[in-house]
Amino acid sequence: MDTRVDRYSLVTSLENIVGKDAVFTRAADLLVYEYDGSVDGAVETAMPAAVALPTTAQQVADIVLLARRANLPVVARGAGTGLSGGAVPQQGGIIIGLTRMNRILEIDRDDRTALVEPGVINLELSEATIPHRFFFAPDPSSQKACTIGGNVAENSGGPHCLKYGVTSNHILGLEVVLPDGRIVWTGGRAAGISGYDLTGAMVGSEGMLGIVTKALVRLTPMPEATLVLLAPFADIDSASHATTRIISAGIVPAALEMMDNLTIQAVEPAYHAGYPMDAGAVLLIEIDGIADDVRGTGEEIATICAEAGATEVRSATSQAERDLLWKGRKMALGAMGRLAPNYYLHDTVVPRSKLPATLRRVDEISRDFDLPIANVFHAGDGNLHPLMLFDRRIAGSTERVLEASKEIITYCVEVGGALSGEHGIGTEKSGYMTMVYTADDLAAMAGLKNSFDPAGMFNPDKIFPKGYMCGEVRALRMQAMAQKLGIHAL
Amino acid sequence: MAVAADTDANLLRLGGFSGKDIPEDDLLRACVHCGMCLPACPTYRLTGQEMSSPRGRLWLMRAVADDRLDLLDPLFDEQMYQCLNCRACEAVCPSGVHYGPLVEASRAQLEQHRPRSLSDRVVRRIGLDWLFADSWRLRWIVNLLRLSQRSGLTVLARKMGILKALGMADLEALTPAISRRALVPGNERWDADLSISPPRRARLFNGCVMGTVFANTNRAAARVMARNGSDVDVPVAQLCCGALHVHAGMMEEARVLARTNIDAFASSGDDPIVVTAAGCGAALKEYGYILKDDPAYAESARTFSARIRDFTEYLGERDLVPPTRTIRRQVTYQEPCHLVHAQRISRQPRDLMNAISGLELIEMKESSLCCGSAGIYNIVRPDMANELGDRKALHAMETTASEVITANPGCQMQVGASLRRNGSTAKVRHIADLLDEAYGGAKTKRSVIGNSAQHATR
Amino acid sequence: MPSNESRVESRKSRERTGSIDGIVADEVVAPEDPQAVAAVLADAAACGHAVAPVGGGTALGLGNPPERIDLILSTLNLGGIIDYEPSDLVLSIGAGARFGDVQAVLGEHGQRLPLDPPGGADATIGGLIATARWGPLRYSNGTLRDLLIGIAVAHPSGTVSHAGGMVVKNVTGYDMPRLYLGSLGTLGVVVSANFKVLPRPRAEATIVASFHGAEEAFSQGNRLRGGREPLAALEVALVDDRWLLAARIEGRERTVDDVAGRVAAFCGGDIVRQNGWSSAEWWAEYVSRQQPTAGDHSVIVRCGGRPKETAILAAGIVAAMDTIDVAVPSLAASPGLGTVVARLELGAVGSRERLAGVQDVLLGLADTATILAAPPSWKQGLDVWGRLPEGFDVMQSLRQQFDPARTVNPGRFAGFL
Repeated sequence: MDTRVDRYSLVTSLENIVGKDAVFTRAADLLVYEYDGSVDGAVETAMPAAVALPTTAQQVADIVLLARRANLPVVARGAGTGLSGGAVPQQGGIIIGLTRMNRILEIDRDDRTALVEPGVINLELSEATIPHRFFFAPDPSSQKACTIGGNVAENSGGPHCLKYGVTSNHILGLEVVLPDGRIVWTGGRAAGISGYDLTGAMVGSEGMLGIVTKALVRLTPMPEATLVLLAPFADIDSASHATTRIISAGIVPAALEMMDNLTIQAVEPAYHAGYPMDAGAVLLIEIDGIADDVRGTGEEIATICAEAGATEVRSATSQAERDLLWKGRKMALGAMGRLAPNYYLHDTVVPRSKLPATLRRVDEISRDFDLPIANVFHAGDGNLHPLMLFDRRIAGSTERVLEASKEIITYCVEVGGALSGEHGIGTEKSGYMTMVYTADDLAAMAGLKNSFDPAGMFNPDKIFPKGYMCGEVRALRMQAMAQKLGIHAL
Repeated sequence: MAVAADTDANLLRLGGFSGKDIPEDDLLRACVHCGMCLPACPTYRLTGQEMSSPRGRLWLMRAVADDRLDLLDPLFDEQMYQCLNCRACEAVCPSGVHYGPLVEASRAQLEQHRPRSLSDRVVRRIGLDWLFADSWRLRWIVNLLRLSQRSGLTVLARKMGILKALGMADLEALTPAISRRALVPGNERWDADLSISPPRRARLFNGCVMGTVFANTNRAAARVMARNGSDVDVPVAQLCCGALHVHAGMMEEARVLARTNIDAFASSGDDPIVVTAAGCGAALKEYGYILKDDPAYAESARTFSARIRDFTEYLGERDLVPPTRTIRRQVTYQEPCHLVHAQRISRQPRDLMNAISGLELIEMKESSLCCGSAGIYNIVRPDMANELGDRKALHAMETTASEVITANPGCQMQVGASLRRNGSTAKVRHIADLLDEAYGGAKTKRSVIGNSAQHATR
Repeated sequence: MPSNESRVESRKSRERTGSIDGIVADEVVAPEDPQAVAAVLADAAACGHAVAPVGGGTALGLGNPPERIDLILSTLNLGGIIDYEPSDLVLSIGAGARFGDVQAVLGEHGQRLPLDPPGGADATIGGLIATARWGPLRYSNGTLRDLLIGIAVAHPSGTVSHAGGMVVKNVTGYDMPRLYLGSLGTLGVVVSANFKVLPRPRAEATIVASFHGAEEAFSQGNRLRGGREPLAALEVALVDDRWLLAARIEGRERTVDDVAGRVAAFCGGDIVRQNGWSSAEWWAEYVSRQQPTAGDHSVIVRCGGRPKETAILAAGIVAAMDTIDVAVPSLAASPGLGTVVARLELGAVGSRERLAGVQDVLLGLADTATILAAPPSWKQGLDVWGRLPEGFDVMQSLRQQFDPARTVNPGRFAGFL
């Protein structure tokens, strides 16, 4: 085929690969592939030229080869629950939807691994392994809907990654379709595979290096005992001080979550989880492990909280009690509908000792912009989720939200934080990358990108600031040449 | 596969929503496309395609509203009717989007604006308008059916496509279950067991299929309520609830039925109106919504809706009189969508089953995923419905339960047919029948307080 | 933190020459800041010189013999603590810091890096990152891969790039730290790294049970692994003709005591229990067997397979070595990981051909087989990293992107990159 593949032959070629019922090219069909879970306005929506829903790795590879011949970009998509625009095509092209590759291929109790296709839903993997007394540890808030493939692309976190680590800590190997259409395995069951850690590079690469068609994931044994503590505080400040004191006391809870008063106001009437309505903030702390340890650690945490000003510390051990306490946290986002029609969920990280100051700054920004901001977040690892409440029908409100979020990001970066803890950069924050990284830092990332995908075919215009990867190949190699031409430091 | 050129032409021929029953913009824009509804949606589970998801369909509605997609684009029609309207998405939506009314309004738009084929119209008119709008006609047809099944006429009827056209293709399999005598409103009533205090009064919503094909289930329900201290009567002049019409976008026809029913129950004060069909219950609870723009009925519709209780919900409001019989049996529970999702009733049926001594409730996988019945869906879209039915049957069979308990006639027929198709001999029963059995059934004098055909209602 | 700075102070490199696998470099440089490292690399790249970075020198024998070395780049002058916030449990430290010194500073705040790689205290942070070696604590704590949150690398392009940061959760751009980890300098020389650190366990104990046969040791080991006892490390080892099952327990005092009691009762037979410091010492000695001893002709190999087949792999190695007249004086297996590290004696008749033969046999038994140490002359022409990994051409592109002139460690990494 020529470099330019006309529309008709694109359609027929795609149909030959995946079958008629798995190809969409009518504009009407494509409409529903122009968004993901991110907020309108924060991420531009954009339509692909075609959507294909393959069922095998070979089909994925064939589509990639076709796209290569047609000179079309390729965007991989899972459930489309991402919050940074990662699955939204910026330059059209072919969307490869992996929702039909949703089988759990193997659960190996002895090796403590599961082999899954990328479209498997996060929570359903855990549900399948719980009878074997294992679970898949990364538990992003969207875990009921998001896919393992998406978790790999974004290196997803969740409340329990405080103790268990993020997705990257739980991926042992990946079957990947590369931009040249080859199917390769990175990593695997055995330790000590030689060469670079391509699995590590793949996780969190936002679909820009390869398309995952199988994942070998680590399963975590279910803890013997679990305890959930609820500690209400008069204000955010004392709750965040309690957080830093727990962490600096050398305690690693399974989860340590904070909800502020605004969140409680939304959540408590909806779910009756038992959060005191007059509390300035509550901490929800989960400890797990062997029974003795859990009890002892629980007592220590209770003491720290009391010293930091907790008005009481309630504990729940039974599954039902724990579920109720967690329900308020897990459903918090939904309950926000009670406060405002729209919300923008932001994701930044700061060093844990900077939490009190950062939350104060968020409060200031809330007042400066006259914008209610609820805070419901992973306090234990400093991962903030300021939730800006607004009504997008009011002209200019979306812009105000984006301005306020820029203020928050700026502050977080100033105190040594990062742009995103678990949502990814995508297009939402690509413009901010230069706030944390220098040209040399970005050049190294470009070097990684170019090694996998020199033509820039996979998920273009993500992570890097707009225009960064255009035209010239940005990489260390080029700079090295400049060096060779006589610019030596020594 | 159409080539791009037609598509673009299609897109140019724009026509957004207009006329009556426009999907409400505020409801529509409450969706933030987070995607949490995807795994709950049966059609998305089967197809894995975004347009077959609640989020996708809402986006399509929005595209029509924004003039980016033609109302009459085949995709829009396809998706609005591919939806089972099972409401599973509503139950999991973090933003609280009211999906049901939106898809119903979209269908109403299509009904208003699209030209339909003659045969399509005839079938719908007969099926939904002529048949269900008059309870005598339905009773007559059902009697005919029962007769035909006994006499072998069914074969003929099936060949003629009559059963299918009437949405009763699975009735054949239910021969023993078809009640011999329809429950005619006003003709029967049940008196409360006076040992239970305080006494209560309940009005039974008879509906169409429940009052005819499943009349005995309604009687069983009434006996159980009576045993639990309720006088039960069945007010005259009530008709079909109109759920199928709402689902089909025939809003005006549904409103006619709604007004009739509101009037029929108007004289019974604020007595609870108990419904044995989850689909009817959900629709009755939404009368307030569908008549909100009718100045004459808006208020009374709201009051009416507030009186509606599902049978299990009603029993759950008070301590249950302990069932007298031990039933040593394993059962599993299929949750009707319009009970668990639309009405959010999930605990009560299980509590009721757990109250029966000897009964073991084994939960099946995906108990709240639609079985594919969805009103007339299994007739209109047999492929998707069968696939969902098979999935349901296999999950039920995995439990090794000998009975599948449910609380909606559509589910009862669909799950029954699916089980048999998959070689299972498990029975499908309404929870009212199971409870009635646990209280001794119709033969137990103690629980049959009275069932005189001569009683005048009210 | 200036008070710590003095504890982990730079130990000035005084060497004038150095050698790796017998290849001698004429020059040793020890730059004092990251930019200077980048400048050295850029200069070498421009002149076509080869550079071998060296830290503590504890793992110099790892890898293929270098094609050439013109310059040894010592990282020992890059040793200071850059930032340590005990209340945040994060640490930023120069690549030249000695691992033992880092642990000592962390220990003062009741913290540690939960790592016990062979090479131990004398290894540098940079060296540990470059080689990505791990020890038995991987059973519960993972490896450096799970602790590394940020990195700074000097490249032959003359630039210093940073990635990650000082927060424990970060998806700002690609996960570059993991790419550099274990890349043996071939993508650039690590100049500093950031870690999340963990609280030091309050107590520890080790139960060592001794068995006559491998089968019994492994079956007990597998049962312990499948059970609910929380272990920090679990190893099955062949030492002096005895098969040992060693379980390390860490945590709160009472828990450690209880668990150790239960594990000891479970293992039965010949039990030795070590507590506290002596437990730590026992493990230090245990991993030291996986280090080559200067001057001897030991070959140390590491094989990896499916965790559940560790026993089969270990037994297979012992049996297979026996058939080709190779002695296995010691062997350490990690049933949780599926790896076996074995010390082999090829005797006086060792040669390149025999070592190649050993590798062939091992690759037949295991998914991965790496020769961690061997006399340089035997390694000639052999890829000690074993099987060429899938996606090798991507790795070649990476090398080409980051170090087109193959300035750092030419030939030493997998596939002679």
